[in-house]
Amino acid sequence: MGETLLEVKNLKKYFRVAAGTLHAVDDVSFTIDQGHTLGIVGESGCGKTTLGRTILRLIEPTSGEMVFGGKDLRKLGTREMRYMRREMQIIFQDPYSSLNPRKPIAETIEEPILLAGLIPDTDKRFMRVLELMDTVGLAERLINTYPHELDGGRRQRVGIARALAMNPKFIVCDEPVSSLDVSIQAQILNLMKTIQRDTGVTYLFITHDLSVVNHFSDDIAVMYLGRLVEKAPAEALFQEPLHPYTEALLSAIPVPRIHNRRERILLKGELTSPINPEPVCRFAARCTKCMDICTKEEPPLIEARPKHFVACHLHKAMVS
Amino acid sequence: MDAQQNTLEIKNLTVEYIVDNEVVKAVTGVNITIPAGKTFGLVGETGAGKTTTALSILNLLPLPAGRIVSGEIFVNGQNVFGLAPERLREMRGSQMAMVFQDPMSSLNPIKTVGEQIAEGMRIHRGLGSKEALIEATKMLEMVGIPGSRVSEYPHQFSGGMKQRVIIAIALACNPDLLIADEPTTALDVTIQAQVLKLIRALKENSRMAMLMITHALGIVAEVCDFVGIMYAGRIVECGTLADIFDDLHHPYTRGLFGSLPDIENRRVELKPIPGLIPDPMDLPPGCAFHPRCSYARAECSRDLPNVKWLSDTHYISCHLYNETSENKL
Repeated sequence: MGETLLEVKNLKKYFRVAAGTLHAVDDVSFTIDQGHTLGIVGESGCGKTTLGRTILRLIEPTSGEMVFGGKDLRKLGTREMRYMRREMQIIFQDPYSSLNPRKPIAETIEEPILLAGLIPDTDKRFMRVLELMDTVGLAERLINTYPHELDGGRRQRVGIARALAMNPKFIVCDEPVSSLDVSIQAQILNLMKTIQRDTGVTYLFITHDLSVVNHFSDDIAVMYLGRLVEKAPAEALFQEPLHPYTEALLSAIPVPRIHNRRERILLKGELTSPINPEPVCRFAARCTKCMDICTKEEPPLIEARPKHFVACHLHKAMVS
Repeated sequence: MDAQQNTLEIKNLTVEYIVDNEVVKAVTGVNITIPAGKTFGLVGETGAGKTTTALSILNLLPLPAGRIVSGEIFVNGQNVFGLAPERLREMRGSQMAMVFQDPMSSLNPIKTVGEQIAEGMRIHRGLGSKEALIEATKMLEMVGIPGSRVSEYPHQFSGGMKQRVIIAIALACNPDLLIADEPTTALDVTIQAQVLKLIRALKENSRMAMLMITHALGIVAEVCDFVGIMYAGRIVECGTLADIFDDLHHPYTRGLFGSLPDIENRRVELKPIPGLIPDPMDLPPGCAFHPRCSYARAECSRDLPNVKWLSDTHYISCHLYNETSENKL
């Protein structure tokens, strides 16, 4: 087993809204090992994007801890945090709006290196930009192009090059392939895997696409209305999901195959509101296996099987 | 086949857009036939020409940029390009209806959902306001929304429910042809499953023909009877669901399948199609796919491949199969 790179403990992010308190991320804990990928899946509004941003302190958490490489990020001052950001980067979903339209892409890639003062020599810095472009598969002739001249796949490559510029240990990838066509999506996923193999970078991979997350991640965490409801190694989660929500989510994936199709579990209704949630299971109203206790008590996250965590009253903690 | 037997027949459709005095070849030589009660899945990536094909059926191409260069489209045997505007307006909504991709922007925010469903019934079926509203309530219930919500406004509904409302509007006059442009793309996967179930139920209970536009092969496998794979404005491979899923022949079709992660086996490597989708203003000569095709030969960059029929239902447009259909990939 690798060393733990990031430990998130009881992380909470609440937003004040007109109707009350919105529990975007509610008491989420997990760890990621160095060089591994943790996939975060969930539907719109489950808090997955807020989680990614809160970990990087792009949004300040309400409470909880993020321990990165042994340091509690919340205890760092502005200057220390800025220094720390070299090691933790983010790739955004929308390559159309996350690049500066008025800068040639070389400047966008160069900017973090320049700001950090890492390579003061202009020529050497330029060589580094070329090297990064080569890593992400951008042709050298594109160096002076502007984002609007590039297609979505290439723009996302620029976003990846910018994230890699500081040789980070950790990258939050927020739906990095969701806006791309399938043939381009596969190119980018393969690129990100190659980069991980070569640099040992750790990914937090946020997506709503279950087949992509299965392919890409070592471990998968499922979120529902701000809660982490299940976390397990990818294979275990897909072969034997424990939480009824995970089960329904997996069965809802449209499989590109016409034989041996699985029975589908259809969920009733839609997501309820994460505003002022009752202290009960948040999935109870839609759950096909709902019991009395589910509408009375909130289930804690327990280790039901080795490395397989679930927050559901159907399951008991492992006896060690 | 006789035109009368098919709900939709598109014959040799070619559509261009004029943008900045340049010609964009959006759709070239497309043929699609859908018998009553069947669903045809039109699959392709951004810019393949799927939506342009759909808009042509309703004769709703953006003007003056869009231009039908050649071809004919028959809905219930009537050529939509030859119809007077009033007659065409009668057909839209009553004989053919469309569900758009984005449920957030295709509803009128200042009208209740009931009024929006009832509108078509008043116009096309001649119902009075009260009658139409009662019918609208029934339609809402049919798509799984409580009838009591008939006088609510779009903002009071979630995304999945808005898409159901849009489906209810499209179905209000029992159209013979439903065109659905990425109807579930904007929805979450559990809500998508609900909408797909609704679409399947509609298929089973009516003789309605459907053109389903999508980029997701998983959705095609679930609801379609026939599939057309579109690339750079042309259908490159077309057949029954089994033809495409069990016996695909075109390198692009194979590339699409190879780009999808295998849900059962996470260790299978993705085999993406190299390169990029061509610029429709500047299509490569010969077969438009040749710069990305690992099987490309000399003639691929020179000549346009002919259509070759592999069986009664399955055709392909690729030089690999000029001599024989046995060149399996």
